[in-house]
Amino acid sequence: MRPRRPYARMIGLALVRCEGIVLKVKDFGEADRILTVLSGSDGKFEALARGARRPRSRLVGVTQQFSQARWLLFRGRNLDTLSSAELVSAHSNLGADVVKMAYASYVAELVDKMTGERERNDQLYSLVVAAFDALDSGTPDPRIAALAFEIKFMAATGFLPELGQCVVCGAPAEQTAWFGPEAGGLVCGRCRPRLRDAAPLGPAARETARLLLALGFDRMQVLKPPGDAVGELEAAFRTYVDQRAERKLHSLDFIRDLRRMEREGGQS
Amino acid sequence: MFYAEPVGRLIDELRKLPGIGLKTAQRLAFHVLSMPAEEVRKLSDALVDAKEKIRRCCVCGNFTDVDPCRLCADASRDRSTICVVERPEDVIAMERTREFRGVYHVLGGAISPMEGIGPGDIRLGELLDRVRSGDIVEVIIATDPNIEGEATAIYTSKLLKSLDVRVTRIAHGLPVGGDLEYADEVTLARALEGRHRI
Repeated sequence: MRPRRPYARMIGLALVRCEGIVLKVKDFGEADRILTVLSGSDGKFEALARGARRPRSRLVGVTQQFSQARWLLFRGRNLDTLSSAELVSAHSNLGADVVKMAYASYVAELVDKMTGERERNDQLYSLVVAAFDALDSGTPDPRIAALAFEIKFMAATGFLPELGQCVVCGAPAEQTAWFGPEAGGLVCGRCRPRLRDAAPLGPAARETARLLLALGFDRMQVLKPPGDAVGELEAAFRTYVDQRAERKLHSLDFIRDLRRMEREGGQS
Repeated sequence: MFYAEPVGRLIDELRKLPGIGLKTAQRLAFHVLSMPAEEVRKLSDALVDAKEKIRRCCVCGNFTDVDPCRLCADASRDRSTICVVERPEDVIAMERTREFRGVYHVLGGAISPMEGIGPGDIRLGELLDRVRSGDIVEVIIATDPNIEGEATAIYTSKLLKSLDVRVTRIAHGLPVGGDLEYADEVTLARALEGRHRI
């Protein structure tokens, strides 16, 4: 008797196993979902989860945004179809806190908008998982974790701005007090008048950036950035990211709105 | 170019509806052409009528043809309990249970940073006004049990904390009649978290 061939191969579909994390979820049709998944081995890809919005579906829980799982998929030309999944981590604390959720959404949106499809990158996948784990646990502070992710992500994808010297004349970092988002790095006082968009970036912010890049998320709770170093870094990097992404990052506006509402709430 | 101009226009309009691609639009368009003229007129009248006559209820935000809507105007309903839902469809789902006799508040969405929907974009201000101005005893938050729905529920409960009102969340757990072994890990974990004494 001939051995039975798997159904997927009989109808010409490849069956793929990989571990990945859900960056984005879109409702589709009557009860389906389209997931944007980032994996180490297969890069970023889209997968259709049939019936995943029905309460009785086995896929209902695992197809939530920020879920990390081992996926079994039928590989399609444009869109994979999810067959089954085994949950690794639901990162369920992210839904229990709007601030954590906002920063996690920023991480997901940054990755979604600045990475190409099906580009293998194990280092990026590990980084994204570490960032979601850190945001889920709440250590370090979500604001610090998101900033650290931003810097590490830029380094992992080859977009890290010049932080060692003046990007225009090459003067040592100690002589720089500005950051030029368009020029792509630190700027010294002499070169600053030549750039329209240079923003202040003092020594404390530079040192914070260096530490955030060097330290793992699990060691960041010891960091106590002085003054408004975090604010300076955020302002500099977010303008830089906005320009590189070439697309609007909705979650950035959301974070700004949330901060404004918090300030107004605190004043009243 | 393959279709007569009016048919092409009908297909283009049908394709704008959610979940309708070219093939389905073409099938529907040709079906409309084969229908009796009277039936087609009824369909077009129903579309225009619904669009012209339906608006948002000034109290709960649900779709209605009379303002306030029939549920808000019903004197037999318990006005001290508000059930907060994301969409008008959720009101229908809750009404089907025949268990809830309070009134509703339709938010018109959920907080979603990636879609750019913030707390100011859903009807949370109107909910606060309702709770402040009426004799509300309980607010039941029945947003979807996903990340956006959970965040909206937590955010709403924080907003209502300072007001003298009981805020509750609908339970998460296993569907009635289901087998435990087929439940997914997340749902089962939530069901365990939400266990209660019997």
